[in-house]
Amino acid sequence: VTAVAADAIDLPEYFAYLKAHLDVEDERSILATAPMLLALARNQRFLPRYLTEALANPARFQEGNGYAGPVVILGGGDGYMVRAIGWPAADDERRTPSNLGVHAYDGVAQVAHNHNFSILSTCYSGPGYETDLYEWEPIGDREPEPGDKVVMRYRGRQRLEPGQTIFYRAFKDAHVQYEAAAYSVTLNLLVHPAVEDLGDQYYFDVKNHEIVLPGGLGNDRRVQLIQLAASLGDPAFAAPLAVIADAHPSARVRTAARQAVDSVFGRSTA
Amino acid sequence: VSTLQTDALDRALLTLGRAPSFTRFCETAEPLFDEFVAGRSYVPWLGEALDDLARNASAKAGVGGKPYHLWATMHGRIAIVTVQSKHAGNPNTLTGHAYHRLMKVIAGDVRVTRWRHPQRVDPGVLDRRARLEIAADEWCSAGATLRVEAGQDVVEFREGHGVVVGLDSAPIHHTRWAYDRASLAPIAVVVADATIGRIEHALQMLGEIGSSEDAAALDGLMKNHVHSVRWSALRVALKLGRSDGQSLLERALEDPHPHIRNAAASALGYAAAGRRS
Repeated sequence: VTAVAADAIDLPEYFAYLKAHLDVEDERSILATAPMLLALARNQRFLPRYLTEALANPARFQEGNGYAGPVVILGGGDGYMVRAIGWPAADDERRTPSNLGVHAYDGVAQVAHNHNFSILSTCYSGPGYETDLYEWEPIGDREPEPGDKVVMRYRGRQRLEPGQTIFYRAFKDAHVQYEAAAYSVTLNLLVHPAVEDLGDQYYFDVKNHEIVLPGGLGNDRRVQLIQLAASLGDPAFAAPLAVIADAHPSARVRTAARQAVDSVFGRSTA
Repeated sequence: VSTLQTDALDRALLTLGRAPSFTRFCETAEPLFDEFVAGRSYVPWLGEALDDLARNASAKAGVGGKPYHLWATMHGRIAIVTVQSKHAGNPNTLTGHAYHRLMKVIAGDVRVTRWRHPQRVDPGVLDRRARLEIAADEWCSAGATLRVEAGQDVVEFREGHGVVVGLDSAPIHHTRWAYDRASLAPIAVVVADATIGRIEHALQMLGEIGSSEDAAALDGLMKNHVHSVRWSALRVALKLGRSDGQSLLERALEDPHPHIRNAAASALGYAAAGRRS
């Protein structure tokens, strides 16, 4: 996205702007907020101030933030949130005791991911991360499954530097993320209208242009709920499971419900 | 779920106060938890969640964004989970528990392995010599109860398929240990409270983008009850150029946690060596 920043603004001004102007279902509206995101990023004091004020009450710090990594939720509204994300350098990356990274770096594995939400992002501090960008589309009409081939078009490598913005469109854009050369912080506007929660995120094997696995918290939880019902096998579950198997918009959720009905209640919904 | 039963459970857990012993937790909570499980209120709860999903494709189940939480307050929580064999994907570490936990198998058969420390351990201070010992490796069917003491027990479902309802106490420890699966030796202290993890990530961020005026705001965190937060706050204060860095480190020599005392002594030693050279 090419955008020119206005004068530096503070966080309340940015949120007031979003509340007044952002239409989460209109891509042009999201893109039109880019100058204000850049203007917020020009304010190099708002985030340290935000952090010190929030850290003054550690027991309630980032209450409701479900992210495990260095993601600070700065606020949001109906269908959107604004986040600050830390991106450590490779030698400073935190890992679990099993040596798994806790950051969304996937350059070594060459696994790309898309999102089931849109992100408008800029760099707030540091040199910024580099990312390989792809557009992708499924082959055929059905929802992709692990192992399916997909079309992936490489759109080049970008560094998200201060003063720049990148717009990741929900579902359509996939990217491989690389470690920043030095600790960097990005600011992003995450736009997630309710309807997008029904769609899946995917991980892609970039070399083979294949789906590795689907994800997406909303449908993951729906599938887990259905699996729990199947494990308990109470007859009261049969009727709603049959409706879900027939009518849910997600093929993954429909399949889980169909398997539950077939295996537990011995009734084919095919 | 039955609010009569959970209200009674909440009142009982409240009487236990902060960090109760495992014995007191089991004596107080287990009879009420057994009643809760026997009442099977998770069945209508799950039926309603499925009805919601059948009516509204984007419905979300659970309490507070946690899909399996049947009930949660600051004194405890009850969750219901499907247990599937993790054997193929097991990481090379085991992780301990920061909560006392009671678990009841309500469906299926699951193979459970339980390890236990033969002596008392402090999960806040890593002791690499304090290895776990295997306590049980058995198949559990519906009706079986598993009791997990915070800090002392490690429990893992190894094989099988089933459903488990679990009651967690309020946090007993802020940290837990991770263990090497092969040797059963502790290898790392892991923050057990997500809020603490977020605070430490935020401190790292502040250390990169802040200035000396922000360092003044870290005094409270340098007195936090969690040692890793105290140390992270001190490091960031020094990085941001606190003018009283030397005295902060000297004060840290008196910290109740040995890791902080050792780290402060090392830092002061480096500083002194730097001045000499």
